[in-house]
Amino acid sequence: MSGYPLAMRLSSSRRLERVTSVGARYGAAVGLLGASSTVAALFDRLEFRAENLVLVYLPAVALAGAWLGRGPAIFTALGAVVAYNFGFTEPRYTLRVHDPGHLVTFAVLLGIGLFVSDLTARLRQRSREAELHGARAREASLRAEGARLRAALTSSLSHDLRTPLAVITGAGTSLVEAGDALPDDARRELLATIVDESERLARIVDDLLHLTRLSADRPAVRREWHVVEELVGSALHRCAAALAERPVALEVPPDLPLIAVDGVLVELALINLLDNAAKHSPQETPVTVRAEVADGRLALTVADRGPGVRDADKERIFEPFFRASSATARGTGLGLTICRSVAEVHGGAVVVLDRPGGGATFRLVLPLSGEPPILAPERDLQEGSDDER
Amino acid sequence: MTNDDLAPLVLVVEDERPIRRFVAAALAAKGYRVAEAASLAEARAHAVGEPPELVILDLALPDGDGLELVDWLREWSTAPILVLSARGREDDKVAALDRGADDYLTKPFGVGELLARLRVALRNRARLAAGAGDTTVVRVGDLALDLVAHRVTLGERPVHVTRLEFKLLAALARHAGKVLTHKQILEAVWGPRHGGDARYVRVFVATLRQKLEAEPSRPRYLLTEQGVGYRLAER
Repeated sequence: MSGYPLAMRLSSSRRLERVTSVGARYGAAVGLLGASSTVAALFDRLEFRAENLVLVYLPAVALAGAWLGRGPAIFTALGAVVAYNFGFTEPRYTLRVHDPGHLVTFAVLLGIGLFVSDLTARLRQRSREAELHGARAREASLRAEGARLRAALTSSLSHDLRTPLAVITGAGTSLVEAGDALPDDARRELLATIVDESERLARIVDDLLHLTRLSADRPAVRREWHVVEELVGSALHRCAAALAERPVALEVPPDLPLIAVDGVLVELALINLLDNAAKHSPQETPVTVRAEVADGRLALTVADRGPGVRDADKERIFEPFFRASSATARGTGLGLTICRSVAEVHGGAVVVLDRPGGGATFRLVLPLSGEPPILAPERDLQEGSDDER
Repeated sequence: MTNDDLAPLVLVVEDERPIRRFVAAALAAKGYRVAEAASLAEARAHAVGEPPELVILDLALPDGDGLELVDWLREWSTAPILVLSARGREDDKVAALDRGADDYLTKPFGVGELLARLRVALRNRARLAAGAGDTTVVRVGDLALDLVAHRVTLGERPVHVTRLEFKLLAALARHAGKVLTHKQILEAVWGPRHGGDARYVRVFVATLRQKLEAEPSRPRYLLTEQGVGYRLAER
């Protein structure tokens, strides 16, 4: 129903009332009267007193008021009066009023009928107004939230994109302006700055593209059977520069089952976790990568011996552009967001936990679904000679 | 007239003028001769006029898909082809490599990266052209592949590999440093009617890594290019 205009939704219920024809509603009123009369006749057979029998018509009148509207409610009240008078008051089977007290009863029935129908109509209107009001309020709140998020993203994005661009423009124009007058080392420095900032911009653009693709309605996830050990290995290789000389401890058993995932995306998630660990822990401290299977899930953990993540930040670090400290001003602020998106797109999750002894453990969990195939390439594949080509 | 005394000719096919200009400038600075083309039609005219030693080709051209040029070139030329793309998707890369391109660069790239890949591509091509027998033993770090005796050693220690595993190592070694796609690997090891796919290659390589690598989850020799294929480390 999202995106269905609010006004259309409300008017459709009004249309329903109009569709339920007048005839149908009066017919229903007749039905109610018939039902009540049958019950009254039954009680009459059971020798109930006439004054009590009138109460049987009360529900009919009330229901008519609640469900059928004002007109039918009046009709039911009158009908009840007539039926009661005709069938159950002396003289029976005549419309003559013998006891003036019955007039009071008649008036009360009519009054109740009118009162209930009025009350119901008013209640319905008020609830419609409240619903409209509530729905409008919800929409407004959603729009405001969306606007706030967009503003935050735009502001961060604007800053993060414009800053390197500003540096490049500044350095580039300086080079052009100063021309030959610029000393060699100054020139080299400006040129190096242009290259560095361009690379930074390229990383931000890459990350944004990743996030955009992952946020699509149906993100392109190509699931294939992968070897866990290989996913870890290729991510480590891609992060070789970031990890540099630091010790990397690996706890990846050789006999893990194959996992059906998008290899490129999972590698991307691991790369971001490894990069993050390298950025947030001292150069000489080890990073530990572990893979384990439990409860039908694969858990990949990357742990560092850095300062860890404060409880208050444990969820926020996964938000776009959030930076826990100024130390990571070099990052794009999107790495962990991408990591979480990859996890979610596979039906998994990623969290950060405190590490005993200090540091942070990032735990990426991916569900293991279905039976992995038993593949024996040497046995299963057909070898043909080269001359057949 | 022979080209032996002339610097190698590189054909640059790229419609974005600034990119074409900086690539041409970098190549000229390194002593290459450069021919520039801004479309498929121009590229064909240049290639036929003077066959290049190497082609740098952008996939997005105004008059068609760069892959068409790869197909066209591969019909008659063994010159290495480096493909440039702004899209950076693995599919494009695999398509280009499967059709005969030697390597792939994603924009934005630096000139250093371009020149490095150019050198590798030219060297591999030269090695292949000289004949396979010229290099009987391929060495990468401690790994030695004796292509004639079909023996694999790590340092002093011989490593037992199956016949098909050796075929894989030999195929990767012939193109050391270059990536082979899953499809190319299946065809090289099993032949054209293999009936397999990427996951078989992954499992196959995983088994081989268990035999060769000191740390299979951090390989030194058999490197993965996720979504594309595998390559043997160069050194």
